[in-house]
Amino acid sequence: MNFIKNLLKTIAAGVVAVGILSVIFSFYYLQPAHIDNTEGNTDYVWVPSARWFKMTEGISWGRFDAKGYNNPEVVENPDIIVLGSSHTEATNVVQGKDFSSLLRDKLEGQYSVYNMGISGHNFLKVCHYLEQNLKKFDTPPKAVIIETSALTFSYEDVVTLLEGRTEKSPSYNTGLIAMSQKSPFFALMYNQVQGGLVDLLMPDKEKLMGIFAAEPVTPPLSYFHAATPVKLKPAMRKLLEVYQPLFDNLSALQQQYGTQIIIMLHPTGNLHADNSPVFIREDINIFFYNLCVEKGICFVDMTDTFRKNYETEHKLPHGFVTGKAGHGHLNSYGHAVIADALYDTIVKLSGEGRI
Amino acid sequence: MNMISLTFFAFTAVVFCALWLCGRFVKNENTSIKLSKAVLLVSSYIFVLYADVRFAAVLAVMSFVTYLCAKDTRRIAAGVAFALVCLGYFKYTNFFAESFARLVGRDDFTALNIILPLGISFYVFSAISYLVDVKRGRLTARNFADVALYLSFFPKLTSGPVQRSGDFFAQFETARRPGWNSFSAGVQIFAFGAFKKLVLADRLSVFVNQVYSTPEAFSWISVTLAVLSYSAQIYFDFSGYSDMAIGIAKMFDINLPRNFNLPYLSRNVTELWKRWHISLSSWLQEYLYISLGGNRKGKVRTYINLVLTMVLGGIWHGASWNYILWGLLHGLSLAVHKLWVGFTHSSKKAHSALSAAVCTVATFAFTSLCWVFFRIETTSQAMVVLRQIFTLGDGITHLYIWSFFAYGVLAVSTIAAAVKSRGIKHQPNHQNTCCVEGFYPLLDLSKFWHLVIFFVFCGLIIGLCYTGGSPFIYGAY
Repeated sequence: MNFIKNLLKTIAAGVVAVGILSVIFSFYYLQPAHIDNTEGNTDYVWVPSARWFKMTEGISWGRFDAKGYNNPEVVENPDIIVLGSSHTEATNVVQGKDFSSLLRDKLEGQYSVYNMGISGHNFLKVCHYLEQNLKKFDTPPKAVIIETSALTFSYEDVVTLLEGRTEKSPSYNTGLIAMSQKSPFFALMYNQVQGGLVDLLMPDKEKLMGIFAAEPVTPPLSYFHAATPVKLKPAMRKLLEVYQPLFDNLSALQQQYGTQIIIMLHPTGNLHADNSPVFIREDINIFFYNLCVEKGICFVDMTDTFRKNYETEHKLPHGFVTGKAGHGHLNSYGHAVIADALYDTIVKLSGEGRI
Repeated sequence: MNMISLTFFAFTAVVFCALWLCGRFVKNENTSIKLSKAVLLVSSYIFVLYADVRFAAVLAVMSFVTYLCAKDTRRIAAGVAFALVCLGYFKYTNFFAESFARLVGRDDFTALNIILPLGISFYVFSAISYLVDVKRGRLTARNFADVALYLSFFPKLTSGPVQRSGDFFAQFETARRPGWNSFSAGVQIFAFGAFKKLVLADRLSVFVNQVYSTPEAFSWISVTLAVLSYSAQIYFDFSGYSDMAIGIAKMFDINLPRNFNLPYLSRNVTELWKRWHISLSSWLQEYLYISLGGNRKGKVRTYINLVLTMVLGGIWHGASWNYILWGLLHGLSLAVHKLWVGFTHSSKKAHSALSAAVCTVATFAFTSLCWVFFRIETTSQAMVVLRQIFTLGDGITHLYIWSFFAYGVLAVSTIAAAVKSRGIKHQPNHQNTCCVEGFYPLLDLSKFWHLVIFFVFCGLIIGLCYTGGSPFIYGAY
């Protein structure tokens, strides 16, 4: 009897503790859930009009619009749409400080800008959904900005895209995960599990040996490995073969909908112990640029701007005070630099009559 | 077996249950003691075997030789020599071989493949402590099982605390009866350790590792913050480990000695070493400093002994010149402090609050600078860090928020300790020391709201912990 009483007391204490933790963590990780996008132009959207507050990477807050994207309000027929990954979605910076918002402010009175960035939507996924995004509006946008942090993808992934076999990422509208996401505590637990909590609590024997071995005090240099320009290797040349039809498709869409495509690359920097350049333009960048010029697509490569700014101001466009410098998502500074570059590009394209 | 893993939790639960059964159902005191010891010895060897069978073999040989040598006081010196030779072989062979190769101009030295047995640095010191105590007549030689358990007791095996043999054996003079009270206290102390390690130390390691690997890329502000962050990291990492070890042992109704006592409140280096890694520093004082002659052979020898003790303490941490330099800096500072105290008699004078604050800050600043040599692999790297700070070097200014959080936690816990320590008076000859004593704020988990607070604390640990994993710093020693 006593045991049952104590057990019930413990369970009740656990339930009360979860409630208290949910209140505490709503100031640390208030993140709504992904839900299916019924319009079919992205894998998913956020819960419409939901608020977020995050301190896990950066310190940010804001509210999604009625369609579940990061905008103060829905723009029905935008002149410019911004597509991309979590960098574009930008829930790591305070709402209004992301490059889409900054661009919107700069272009106020000239063009309307609508951010449709969704985490997990890399360049290939954006290409997959591009046509749906162009035809979902009554009037196709005058320009589409596609954000990417990388230019190299796996050959198989590009072929999968070209063959129309790209799979949709699941979202959790129902079930236990959906329910648990409503509690900031459980949402954070889910985030921690995704971040490696299970690995932490269940290290395999090799990992365990590594922990107790003699060397681990020395930090690995792996996160600062050198990125040196290399000649295109056979695997890369093979990849570029499938880039050609991919860019043909983009070019065709551009002509069909009368939309200017702007691809914006924001590479992550590598710090080196010998202070050698942090941002390096690689051969793939040049190839990509040539391909874009050939197809009439605008390519905004932030590599040189980032390098120049780093050398003069010692600022990195990625990373937050909550983590490593230069690692992770675009920070407020990175967004501002990109917004400036995109603004200059759009003004130039506008002057050339391409927008 | 990592202390923060489900495997370890399950393992500890099984050991706890076995000990609980021994205490609860075996009424005969002697039988209960013997069974408890057997459970702990077997579980400790399972712990070591899980890591590597060779580690268990080395530990068993060390235990057997220690047991044999202690039986006859004429063989004590041989036992101590064997322990030191083992430590030297496994830990320092490569260092001395490489240094010798460099000395004779051979740059093609290839490191020998010598694996460092789990916890050897700690159980070698325990073995020496036992042998010397037997030699000094402080305790009688024990049977093999007792010696083996003393050296292998798994909560303290990996990184201490280095418990005196007498204190350890004394606890088995009565039956260990782990139960709700010991479990409740132990699990809370373990949770404090887990918070220090997973939330504070591991978070700090992210920033510290980055800055220390590329100090030239960061501004002097960030490098300074990284240096201060490492001071906090190593404290939270090691004291966190110690808390976890103490907590696990407490669950089994066994007390391990306190290893840290708010060390950064120290007002001088001498006090620091009475508050930092207490079990090691008291071991060094008792078995090395005093054996070298302590302060009994004149002032000059006292200073030399101090420096020598700390240099050897530095070498104990690892076979590398940076540890030697770190030990040397601490040894010299201890000697200088002793000289200063002798000259000014300042330890007998009452100090103003301002003077105490200046002393505390200065001691902390010195300790933090010394940690640079401890953290960096080569002295040239240390110089880069120091140059960046003292030349106000340019670079990325990254104000890592967890550093401020960690120091905030440190400040709050210090204030709590200061409040609890009100009324503690200075000893007459230790006026220039801090009277604040650290403590574990233990709850009564049989009460509902105390249980809620404990669960909230556990939830905070899981929610805020760094999931990238970072090894225990002292796991490498």
